Amino acid sequence: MNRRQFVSLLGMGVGTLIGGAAPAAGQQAMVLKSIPSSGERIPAIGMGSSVTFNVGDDASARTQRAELLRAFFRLGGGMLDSSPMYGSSEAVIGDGLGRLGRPPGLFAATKVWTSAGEDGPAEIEASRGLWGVERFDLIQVHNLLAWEEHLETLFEMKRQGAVRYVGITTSHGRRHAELEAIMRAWPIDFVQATYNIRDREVEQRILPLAAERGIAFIANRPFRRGELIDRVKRHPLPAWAQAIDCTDWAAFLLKFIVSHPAVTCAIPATTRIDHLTENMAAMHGRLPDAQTRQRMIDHVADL
Amino acid sequence: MGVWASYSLSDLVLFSPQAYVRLHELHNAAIWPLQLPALAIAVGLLLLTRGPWTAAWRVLMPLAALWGVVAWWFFIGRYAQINPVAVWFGAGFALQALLLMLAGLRRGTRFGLVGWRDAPASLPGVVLVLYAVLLHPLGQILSGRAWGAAEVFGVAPDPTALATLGFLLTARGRVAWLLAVIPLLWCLLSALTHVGMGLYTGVLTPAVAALAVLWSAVARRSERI
Repeated sequence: MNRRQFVSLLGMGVGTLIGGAAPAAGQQAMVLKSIPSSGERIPAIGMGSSVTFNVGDDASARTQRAELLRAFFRLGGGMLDSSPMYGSSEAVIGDGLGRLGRPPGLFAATKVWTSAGEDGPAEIEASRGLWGVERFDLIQVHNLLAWEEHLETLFEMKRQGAVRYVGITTSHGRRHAELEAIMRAWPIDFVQATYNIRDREVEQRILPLAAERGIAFIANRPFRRGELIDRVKRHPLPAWAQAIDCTDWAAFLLKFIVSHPAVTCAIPATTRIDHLTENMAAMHGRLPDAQTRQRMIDHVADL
Repeated sequence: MGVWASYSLSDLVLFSPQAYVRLHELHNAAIWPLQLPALAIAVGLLLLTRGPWTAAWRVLMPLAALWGVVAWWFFIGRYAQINPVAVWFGAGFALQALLLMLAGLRRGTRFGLVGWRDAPASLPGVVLVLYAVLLHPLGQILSGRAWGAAEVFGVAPDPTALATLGFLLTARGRVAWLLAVIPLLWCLLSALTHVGMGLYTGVLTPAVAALAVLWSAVARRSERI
């Protein structure tokens, strides 16, 4: 994306909103982003749960994940994203949410992942039971699996008020042409795909289309499952990153993502509270402009 | 097919190495002290196969029981919590238990070392059993795993598959090769899972199995029985 396109997207009203409650003295406001189909604003950093919450019946790991969730909501987190594909992750999330007493900031997002459309409702109901929520805020069709049948189910659920938003996901640059066709043909609220400073294929067509069609965008794999941040952390953070209020690489990489005007939320995954704290810091302070974003791309490409 | 080809192994393994190791730790604690009779079975079978020839059922029936234990308690009861595909792995282990039982009831298969000079192809089998029962868990402990999280013969799938292969290499009769198919497949699957988690030492399991099978196949040419 060039600078002109970036500014043009900003002009379309899908840009970053710095907001929420008025910050106390010495506190920085949190970066909130709008869901285009409703205007609802949500925190720009959420949390993914693939791998990290799949700990089975391990009692000590479950307790630790509950504490992780507590810290997530304390730091202003909202969107928690999971899937029935992620083994025990939904059960572990439900266990944690139960211990926290269903935090009010929760934006519950899961997926439907079954190859037979007729099995979708039962799977969604099972997920709802595992999470222990009255209804999901967002249900997405996982990796476009049986997407047509599932979208029919989800839009019917939305009509009945059983879910607030409907979405579709993919990852790692797969099937973008099909994703694009669905975005054009169906009135979906959310689309989720891989976007990070090294994997920027969605900048070409998916993100502009999301902006054009008023579809919220969730960026998955912001750290390339840890590989990206492990690599950049071997190098010192550039001094100029202070100008966008970054004190660590996690904030640097996440600010790059959420500063794109068409991106609604990034969902990094972690098991560590210190890493979570770094991630959530990306929701505070200045965000890079188009010129700085290009500088960030060039800098990371050279590492 | 094109879409599946775009997935890497790490996309398909949706649990961390920490969760996998912890799974073994919790499994060992839950199943204790079953590890001790399993170890006693390994020692007993090694003594049985010392020679002369012993009937197949004496070796295959205890092994069948242990494959059943791993199928039910490890795969269905434990591993399926974090990996839905583990149910199918458990079915594979249950099938192997059944095959071992059926082969045990069949006449014609004999187990035994006989003597190094007469049956040199059995030696790799004994080496593989010792590796599975002793070196496999010891290597894990030496590389930093807690004692309680080590994978043990008769309780965890990898050492059970490796030791079974080892015992099968001390057998003579066509059925022994058929019984080796599922253990070999498991060694391969286990390696893929480990690599998917970023644990590249997992390739040791099929590598050791393949070396032992190759060594035994070559040695079989010079056997005089």
